[in-house]
Amino acid sequence: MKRRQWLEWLDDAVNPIVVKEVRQAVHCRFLPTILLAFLGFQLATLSFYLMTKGASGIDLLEGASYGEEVFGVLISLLFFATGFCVPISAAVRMHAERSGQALALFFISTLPPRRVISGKLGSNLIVTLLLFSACMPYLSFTYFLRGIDLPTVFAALAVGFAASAAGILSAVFLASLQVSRFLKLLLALAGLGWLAILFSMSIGSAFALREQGVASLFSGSDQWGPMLVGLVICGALFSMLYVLAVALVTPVTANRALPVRRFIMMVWLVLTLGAVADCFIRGQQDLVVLWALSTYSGLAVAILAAIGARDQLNSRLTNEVPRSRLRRGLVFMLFSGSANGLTWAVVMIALTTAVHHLCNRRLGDDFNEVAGPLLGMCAFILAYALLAVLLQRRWLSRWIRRSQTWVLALTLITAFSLTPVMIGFLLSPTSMAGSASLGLWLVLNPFAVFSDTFDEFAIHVGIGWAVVMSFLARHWFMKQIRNFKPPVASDG
Amino acid sequence: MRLSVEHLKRTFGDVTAIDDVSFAVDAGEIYGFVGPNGAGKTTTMRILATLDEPTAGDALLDGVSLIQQPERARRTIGFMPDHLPTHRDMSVDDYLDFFARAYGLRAAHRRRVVEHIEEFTNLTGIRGKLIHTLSKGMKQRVSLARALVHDPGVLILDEPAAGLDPRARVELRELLVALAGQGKAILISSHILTELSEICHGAVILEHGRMVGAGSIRDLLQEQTQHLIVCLRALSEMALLHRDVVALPGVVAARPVGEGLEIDLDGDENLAAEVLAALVAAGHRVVEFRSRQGDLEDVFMNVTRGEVQ
Repeated sequence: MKRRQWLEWLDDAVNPIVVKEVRQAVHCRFLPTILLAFLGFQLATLSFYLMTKGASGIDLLEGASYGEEVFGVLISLLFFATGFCVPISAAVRMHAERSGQALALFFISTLPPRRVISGKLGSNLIVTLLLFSACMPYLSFTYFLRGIDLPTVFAALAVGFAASAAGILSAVFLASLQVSRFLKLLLALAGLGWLAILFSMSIGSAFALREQGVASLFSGSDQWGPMLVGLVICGALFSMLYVLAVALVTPVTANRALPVRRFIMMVWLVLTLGAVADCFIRGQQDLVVLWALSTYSGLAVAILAAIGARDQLNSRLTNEVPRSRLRRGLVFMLFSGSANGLTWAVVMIALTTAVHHLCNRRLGDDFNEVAGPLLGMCAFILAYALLAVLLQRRWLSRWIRRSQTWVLALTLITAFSLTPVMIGFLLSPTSMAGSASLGLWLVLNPFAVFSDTFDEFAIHVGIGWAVVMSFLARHWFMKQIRNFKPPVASDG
Repeated sequence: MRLSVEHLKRTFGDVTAIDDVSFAVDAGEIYGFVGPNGAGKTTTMRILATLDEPTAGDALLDGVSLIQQPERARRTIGFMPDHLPTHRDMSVDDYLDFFARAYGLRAAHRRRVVEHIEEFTNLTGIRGKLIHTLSKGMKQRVSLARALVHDPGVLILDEPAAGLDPRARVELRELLVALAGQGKAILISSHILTELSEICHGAVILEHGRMVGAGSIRDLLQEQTQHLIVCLRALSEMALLHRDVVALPGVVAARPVGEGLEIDLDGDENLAAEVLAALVAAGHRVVEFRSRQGDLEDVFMNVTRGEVQ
């Protein structure tokens, strides 16, 4: 009886999406076919290898390292299946459930969005595990063929599993985005590119492990620091993707920005503390530079994401606005909304700049070397974002949806970056020979701030332009601040 | 459980999909939600199912706002959208079990509920079949079963009878009456008004996103059916009969229906008796003459103009 109760508890505890997806996987022909083909191919590879080597009269067990070779073939096949097939299948299913009429069914249950995403991730990880378990006996067998040890096999599998998890979550995140068909296609291509990167990274690591053995990881003491930093960054990126995917499947009526911004602020705080501690204790700027680069780049993306958000609070969000003016001021940047998002990004950029300035003073470095160009780039992005907002809200709302203002901003960046250069080339082709001679023609390019010759000028142009655009957008911005208030209490 | 809709408005850019829609449905009542294509029925239903947010107004379930607390409201709303379940590689039983789990039903209770719902919606015989292999009528049943799995107090059904064969329609009607008997408030949209007339306690009529009529069927008939309708059949030539009928005093209109005429009279049964006497006196051999009750279709035709947005 106790056992039955325990099983029932376990059955209830399992995420419903996991149950559904695994059942679907069992019913469909795709997974069993892939699995059987996978097993068959491994068996054929191993048999072929054993037979050909055996037939050539080579003693497989004496001083050879054939296990290493077979391992290479099998692990490549496994990583391809779990790094491409599983994430693509996850994306296709998610896309089908998130598009068109099927969307209704996505929301009508009481299943919270985080369970939807964790269910999708969990069910696809189970499929990955299934493929791993199908491959495990063959990979373990390579040990007997020499040239590889079991800890290395398991370490390589762990790397592949992590890459597959990252691929699945990325696929689920991309499939959760509700954009036009054309953008979906572009995102799908970008996603495939990302999966290819993950695949090459995982296969590269597996081959490196094969060459050096897992014991090489523990041989020195100087690699632990970078490894820890790498793990923290990977963990933060993975969690970030999860939080973003959850926000994307949260109903639009809710304050979707809050969990995302809260999470980013938390990660920012942890990374800032780490970077500052490293700077003050070790007196080196490597970690600070890495931190600044990732933070400014992330916040530039946040600026573009913010401008597609709503300009007006819905009644549900209005009810969540605090009555106290002080609290209202504090939480303004944590609400869904375009002005709210931009405020948050600008505040975070200011905080990052302040911390970076502090670190630079401690190290005695030139502030403009790293933070200056990054700040200039963010200023450019802000200026383009505000220009896109003004154009979309005033004149282009018929043709471009508010949620796609970021596309307009990117188009403006491309147009303003390329057009002057093309005009310059038409006017004086001979003076455009080298990058240094492009000079002022690149002044509207956000990446001109990284130039060696006129970076300072470009930074000043970027900041100046952002100030001008902020002034022009002041009415749009102030209107949202004025509207950010709780509903008027009724007499009843 | 009472569903009340208060001044609901939804705009998409410059287009107003629904404007100032207000009505209420009480426990045990079935309300028909009718209107021409593009009138705003589905938009309203999606808002009531918490899938969309209104530009203004609110909808309350026993005083709890669907807009402010959609997560709470979902526990008491069963929504059947106008499209059929598309999940591939899933049996009927797995499908219902998944939604039962998603609504938080536990272990043995979940099993009992799913079995009961399958029995109630007559799905027991096909519980092991994959959904995508089912007929449209069966998929409609599965969709209804899914909407019922968490025993909601309010049911919102968008075109549940669309594409069903006559037998399936009759069975659906019986199911809805049984559900109303269990105390559920039901809002159902359909283009088949004669069927709605038979089971609905009331109706909400939309056109151009605006409400042009709402209330109990009896009230609507009293408000909107201005004329007495009489069905007439005689062994005379139709053209001659029609000419004589429209010439009589008190006859507003006459239109051929089947082998006879349907006549709108601007008066009561006394006028009907006078019309009959006049026709007999004119030499028409009348074989059928009876007054007909107006129905939802008459109300609908009276209050709408047939224009779409």
